Amino acid sequence: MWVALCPVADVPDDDALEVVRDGHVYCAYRIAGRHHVTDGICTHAVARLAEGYVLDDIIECPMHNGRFHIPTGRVEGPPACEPLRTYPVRVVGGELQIEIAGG
Amino acid sequence: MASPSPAATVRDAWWEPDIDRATLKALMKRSDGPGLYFLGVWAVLLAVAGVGVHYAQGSAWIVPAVVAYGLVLGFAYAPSHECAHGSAFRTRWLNEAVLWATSFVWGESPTHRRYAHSHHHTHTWHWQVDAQMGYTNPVRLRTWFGDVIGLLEFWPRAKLMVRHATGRILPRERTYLPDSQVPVVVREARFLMAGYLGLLAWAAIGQTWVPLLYFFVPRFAGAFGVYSFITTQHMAMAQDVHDHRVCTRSMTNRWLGRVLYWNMNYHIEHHVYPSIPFHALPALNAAIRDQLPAPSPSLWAAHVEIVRMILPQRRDPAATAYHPLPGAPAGARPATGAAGS
Repeated sequence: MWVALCPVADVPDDDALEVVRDGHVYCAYRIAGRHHVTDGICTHAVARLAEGYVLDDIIECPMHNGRFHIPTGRVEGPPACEPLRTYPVRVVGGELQIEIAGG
Repeated sequence: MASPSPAATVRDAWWEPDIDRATLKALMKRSDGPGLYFLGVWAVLLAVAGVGVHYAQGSAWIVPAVVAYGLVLGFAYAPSHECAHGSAFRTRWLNEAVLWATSFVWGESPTHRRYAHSHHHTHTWHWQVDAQMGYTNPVRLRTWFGDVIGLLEFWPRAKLMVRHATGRILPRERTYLPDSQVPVVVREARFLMAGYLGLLAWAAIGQTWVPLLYFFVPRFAGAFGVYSFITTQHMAMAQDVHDHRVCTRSMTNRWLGRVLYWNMNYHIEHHVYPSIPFHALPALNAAIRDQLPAPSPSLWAAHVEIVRMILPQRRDPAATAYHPLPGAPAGARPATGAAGS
């Protein structure tokens, strides 16, 4: 089902925004004009990705510099090994929505 | 791929300074230039010292020449450390290539170095947790001396290399090495061992002193140079506390020390934001200086502080070196763990 995450206007260009919804941490990005949403916690050692560094389409964890490909969640650099969960996104009426399981 | 609750982040437990996101983001920016410059200075100094070793052969000057060369060689630690963080260069292959070359000199599998050091950043100076915390308070004179000359590191690292090359990974190492990386560490250790044995074979079969004079002997004889810097990072500071300002020591170094050590004298700053590359640490210091304790004014002052803590710590293991925090009431100190706690 599709759920609202945050106003599109809140998502920074080429950076990450942490959004907590129902106790789950997400990270919203606008990279080269396209929106993406991933889980907001690094799969390696539990740090908030929104505090990390966005380099092109890569998010780097602030704790150990593990890297993930934002559009796919693919691991791009150690020490991360587990991929990051990504979510389908759409923009409806100025709102960024993601598709999550359930409903 | 479950995402834990927001309250569960390890990083949240640590003290963080007040700094705006735009400044932080600018400081995190990656670049190749500074790393190439720092690497170049190191390479030039190494080459000059190497020429000294060449011309000193056959005379008594060979001893100081090899020590001087080894002093420079040991600072392979610095690029190896920064490349293990992945922040030395913007260009990824350059980062990995320099990590491999300098890890060969340093003597540790790049992957093990990366994971053990990540663990050190997660659990900085937490006794029996931090993978790179080799000693606890109270500091002994022999601990300080052994660490400064590198003896405390060499034997464990040699054993580590042999153990990894023979496929043995300790249960403690499995706490920070993912299963998928265990065979990588073993493969890398074998590759490095093959390199060292190849150098020794070259010396034996080729009847040449070159591998000994330019690698093995100086690596031992000059190790005290870089270890005198590394020892200051945490020794005699508080342990088992989530505030890098009290478990880590920054110091002021002159230009040559900063360049050889890749700015790791800004060590509190490095631990607070490991994703900020070495070349931006002076700027980070300028941005948050009002929230940090004063650094030790020199390398010498840092060692004086450590040695002066040896006797007080014998009487009270909870006594630690402490640089007053800005704004803290006089005499106030954060709660810290005692020895072995």
